[in-house]
Amino acid sequence: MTAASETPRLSCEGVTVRFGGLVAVDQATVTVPPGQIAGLVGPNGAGKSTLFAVLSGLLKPSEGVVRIDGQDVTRERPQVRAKLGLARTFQHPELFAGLTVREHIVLAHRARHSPSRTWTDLLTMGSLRPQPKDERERVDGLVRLLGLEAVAQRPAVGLPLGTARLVELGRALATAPSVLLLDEPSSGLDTTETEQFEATLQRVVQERGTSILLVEHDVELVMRMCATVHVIDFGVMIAQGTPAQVQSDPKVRAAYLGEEIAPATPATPAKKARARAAAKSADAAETPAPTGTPALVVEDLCVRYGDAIGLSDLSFRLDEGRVLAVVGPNGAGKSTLARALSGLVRPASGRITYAGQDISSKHAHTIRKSGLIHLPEGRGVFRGLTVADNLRMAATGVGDRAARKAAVEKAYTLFPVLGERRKQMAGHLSGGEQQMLSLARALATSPSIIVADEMSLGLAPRLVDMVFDGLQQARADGVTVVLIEQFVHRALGFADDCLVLLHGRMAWQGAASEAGGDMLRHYLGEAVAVGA
Amino acid sequence: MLGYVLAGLALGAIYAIASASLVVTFVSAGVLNFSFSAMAYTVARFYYYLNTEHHWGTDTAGVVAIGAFAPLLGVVLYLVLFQFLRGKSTLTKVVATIGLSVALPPVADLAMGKKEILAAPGLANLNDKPHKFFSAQVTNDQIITYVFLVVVVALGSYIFTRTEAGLKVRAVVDSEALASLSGSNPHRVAMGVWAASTMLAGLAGVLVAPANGLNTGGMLLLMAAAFAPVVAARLRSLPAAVIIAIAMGLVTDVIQKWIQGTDFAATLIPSIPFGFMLIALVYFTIKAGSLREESGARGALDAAIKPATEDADVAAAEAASLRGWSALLAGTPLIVVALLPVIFSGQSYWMNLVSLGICYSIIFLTYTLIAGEGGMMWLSQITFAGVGAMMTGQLVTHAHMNVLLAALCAAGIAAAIGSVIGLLTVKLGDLYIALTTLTFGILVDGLIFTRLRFAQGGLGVSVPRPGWATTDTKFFYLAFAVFVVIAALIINLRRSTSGLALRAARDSATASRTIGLSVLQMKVITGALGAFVAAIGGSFFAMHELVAQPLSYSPFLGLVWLAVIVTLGVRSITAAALAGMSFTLLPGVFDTYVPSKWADIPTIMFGLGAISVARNPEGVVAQQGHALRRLFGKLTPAKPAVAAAAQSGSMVAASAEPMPTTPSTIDVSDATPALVEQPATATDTLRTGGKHRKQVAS
Repeated sequence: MTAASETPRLSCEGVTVRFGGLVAVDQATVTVPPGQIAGLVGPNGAGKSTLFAVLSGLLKPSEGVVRIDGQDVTRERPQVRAKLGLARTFQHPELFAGLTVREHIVLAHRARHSPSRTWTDLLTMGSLRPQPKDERERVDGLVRLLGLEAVAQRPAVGLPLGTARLVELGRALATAPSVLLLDEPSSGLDTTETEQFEATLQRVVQERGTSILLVEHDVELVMRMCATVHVIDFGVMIAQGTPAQVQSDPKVRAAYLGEEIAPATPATPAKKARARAAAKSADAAETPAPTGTPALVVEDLCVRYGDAIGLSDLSFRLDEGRVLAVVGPNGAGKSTLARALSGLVRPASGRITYAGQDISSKHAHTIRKSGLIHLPEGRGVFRGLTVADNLRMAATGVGDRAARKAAVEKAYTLFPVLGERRKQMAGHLSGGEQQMLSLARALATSPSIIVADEMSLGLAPRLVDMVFDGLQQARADGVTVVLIEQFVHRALGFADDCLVLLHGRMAWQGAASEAGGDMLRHYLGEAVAVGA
Repeated sequence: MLGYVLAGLALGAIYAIASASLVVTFVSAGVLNFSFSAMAYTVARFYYYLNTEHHWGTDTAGVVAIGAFAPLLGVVLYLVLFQFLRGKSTLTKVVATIGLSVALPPVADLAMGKKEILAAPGLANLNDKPHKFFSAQVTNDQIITYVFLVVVVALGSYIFTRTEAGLKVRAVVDSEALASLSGSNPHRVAMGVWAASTMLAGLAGVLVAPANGLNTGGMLLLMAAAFAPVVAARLRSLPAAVIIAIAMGLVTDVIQKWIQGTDFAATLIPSIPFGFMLIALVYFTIKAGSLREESGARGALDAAIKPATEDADVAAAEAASLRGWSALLAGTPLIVVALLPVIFSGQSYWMNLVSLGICYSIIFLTYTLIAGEGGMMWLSQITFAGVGAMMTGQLVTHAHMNVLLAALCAAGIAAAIGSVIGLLTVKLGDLYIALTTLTFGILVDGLIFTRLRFAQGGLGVSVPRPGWATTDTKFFYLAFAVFVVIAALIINLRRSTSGLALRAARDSATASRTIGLSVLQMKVITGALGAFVAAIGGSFFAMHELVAQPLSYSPFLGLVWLAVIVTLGVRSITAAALAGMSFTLLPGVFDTYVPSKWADIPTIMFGLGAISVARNPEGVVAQQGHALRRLFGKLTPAKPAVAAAAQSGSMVAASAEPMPTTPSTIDVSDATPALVEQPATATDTLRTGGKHRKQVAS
């Protein structure tokens, strides 16, 4: 191998991105070697998309260098990077709604190979000019490679998500890139579509020698496809290496599973067999036999965002006073479940029964008034209102004026620090205090169910303890809790029942105490599961 | 001096009340209310109806009109229109509210009688004598205005900060989704906001009527002036808008102390608010690098659950080119238009309208380019038409140039100006572009078109028709030929790389940049072409009228033009042709065959048509095209999806079947894709693996 060929197609060193006081990415270093697929993974909010935006030129870093084929492009615009051989796709496909599938590829091809035509065609009646043979062959070749013949003349609007991702890939490939950035390409795809997309990518690398940087929440997909994997958490690169190295890295498992991860033990044939059996049972998981009064019954729940699957055929039952931990990787459908339960998104089909009533078609404010409280991911507070107003707002659904006042006072009693900061804007509170306020907004109004979505996200361990203390208090009051949580072991230690979601479907459900070993498999793949 | 200050304070107070109304609706509903003037007019007209025509006392009439009728009007408008604008694109909101601004005043006139009102009553008694205040005099109307401003500010502050209703409004503004999760019904809150906002609009309308006149023009001037403090307050800060509005009123009146009576005063004073707006726009753009209306709005949860393309449910995409019988059908209306002189042969009245109509059709092609192809909401196209007419007149009169060559040169000048505006607005969001271009139009109209060189004391500059096309019939065919040539150029644009790049930049600027396209280049090209076509159309309009008359190119009239073309279809060449004809022939029909009372029905129809963009962004022509497509679809069965797909077993093949459109179902209209909302940018707002996707019209 020559020195030139060892130059990474794409690399970044010491990239730091700050938004005000927040450091979204801190000293990140990524390398994409020629002709290889490199992966970039990390938990929710780790900084993957921010780093991706820096690499593609849509965001300027506060510090650090980005290079394409060794050339410093840190300050270059996306157009310039495209000319240097960088192409990308988007997590939410950014198709040109007014163009057909073929036109996407034609335009991208011309943008790279004959850019002046974007204005000379105006003066030269370009629409009458026949398409050059070379261009036609290349475009047709790409259409065939991606299997887009059937929809080539179809407008991009309304394409199913899987096809839309292929069109984006085709558009990117038409610019003859030397390096391709793929942002969550399997997001919203079902298993079959993901496998087909994976096969297409492998062909692209083999036939065209294109390098790929893959940002992906499906860790198993990344481990299968990538030669090297970079792991980012809280904006910091915590690991880099081959899939095997990364999978066995304790820091990686801690990032995904929480700090209280059980120490790894050597794999034994018996453990491997148990893991396989657990995997098998996951496919045929059944709802445990009901024992108490049901607080919440979910039957065949389906939620879709256009063509994308949010949740598919999800069923479970939660009895009064119990805690259900809902876990799963990014994109599994956990937040969608929370939003469906609280009425923020409408189910496509299925039924949600709460306190004996079907609430699947009810509005969010009606459901809230009946006692089901959703604490959304990302600090469920009104950032532009004071602490006092946040609590007053929470109490608006409670009884008469005296009851509302009592609810606000209860919140101050539960969390005295909020009383001290009652006139402060919620947006100016620390992350932990905001979660405290979010929790207080719920607890003060005596709910019957709390749906808590990723309340520990981005919090220091001490503050995570505080959040769980608050939930424990609710539990002691007989409140039923649906706990969506990234710190799996912490959640399992707290919950009675557990539900594992994967690709919008239920992968496993049962008693929380029985869930331990399977979690690793669902998060980091079979190798880690058996390794643990 | 004190007198100027007192008058300025009163004017500022009215601006402040109007600005408050605009800010409240923008912040809480995301709608910059272009129908503010229509609301203000309707309430003021109702007040006049009660007070002057039915002799109710000023207090009773005021309470009923402003305190009861206005909020009711707000609720009704929310129920029939504004609630459907939630989540729609900026373009749709602007067009729909412009439609309302066109339709509502004639509806009010129809209900209460159309008349020219020479003296509008204020809230004070007409016989009230002014009071002496130090060296100046202050009228009861002025005192009432001050009092109302104080009441609005004090009561508004109290409601917003001290009451549960105010708390709910603030909560919805912060995060609608979180407010729902707190048990508040956002619909009810929004309805209340619209009721309050309409009440403020009505109050401002009643207060300003004695000064500006009780007519739509006066109210439009109030609205346009009130936009300035709203923009200066970044559309969101109520206190800033109120303070800037008062300052603006003061400057407007105080400056008159020094320049009153001069020629300069007549042009400068009405332009002061727009100068404020221009300064604010330039300042913010330089300071922040860009100015977009959506930044900082709402919370992450709202973004996560908001469908990215709520407009797209009605936005069926069509291929840019038509083939076979589709092309034939699309061209049929043009053939009918071409035959109109034969149909109206010997009928000079109708022939005059037809030749005028084709001039409008040329002008309307500018909207096909700017809004239809470029997806940009420019409200200055009528000004470019005016530039074309004025410059043609100047070149013919002073340079003795051939009129057609002069029109071409004038269009070149307009194109240069258009490209500069495209360049300057590249960093602005859609709403700011609409406001900037409207401001540009108002400034040109007020500061340049009023110059003696152009206005000629109200007579305008004569513009002859070409010597060989002086009759209406010959002139029609000349204009029709120009229309066809421009239409062919637009079709070439659509089908060429330039058109592809234009649509790409419109649909996703981010993705365009990542494949190496220059969005700046596209905006400049679009702006230049749009201005060029508008100017050609304006020149032909002037040739038809034989005069370039500045009054014909008022920016507010441009809003009506926009409503007309949007009603028929802003993306279709056929629609542009039909829009021009409808704009002249429909009123002609009503003038000729219908009692004069109903003369405004066409205007109402066009306004309602533009309002319907909230439901149907494609316009009437495309809608009828769909109907014909279905009809012909039954006669000629559509080809099945390409068989190879099914055989390949690919992901596409597997997913192709349920898709509702096939290549054989191209619309018979020549429309390009609808005013679709730009796809969401690549953020990680939705981390659940779901993807908000466009829907396809069934």
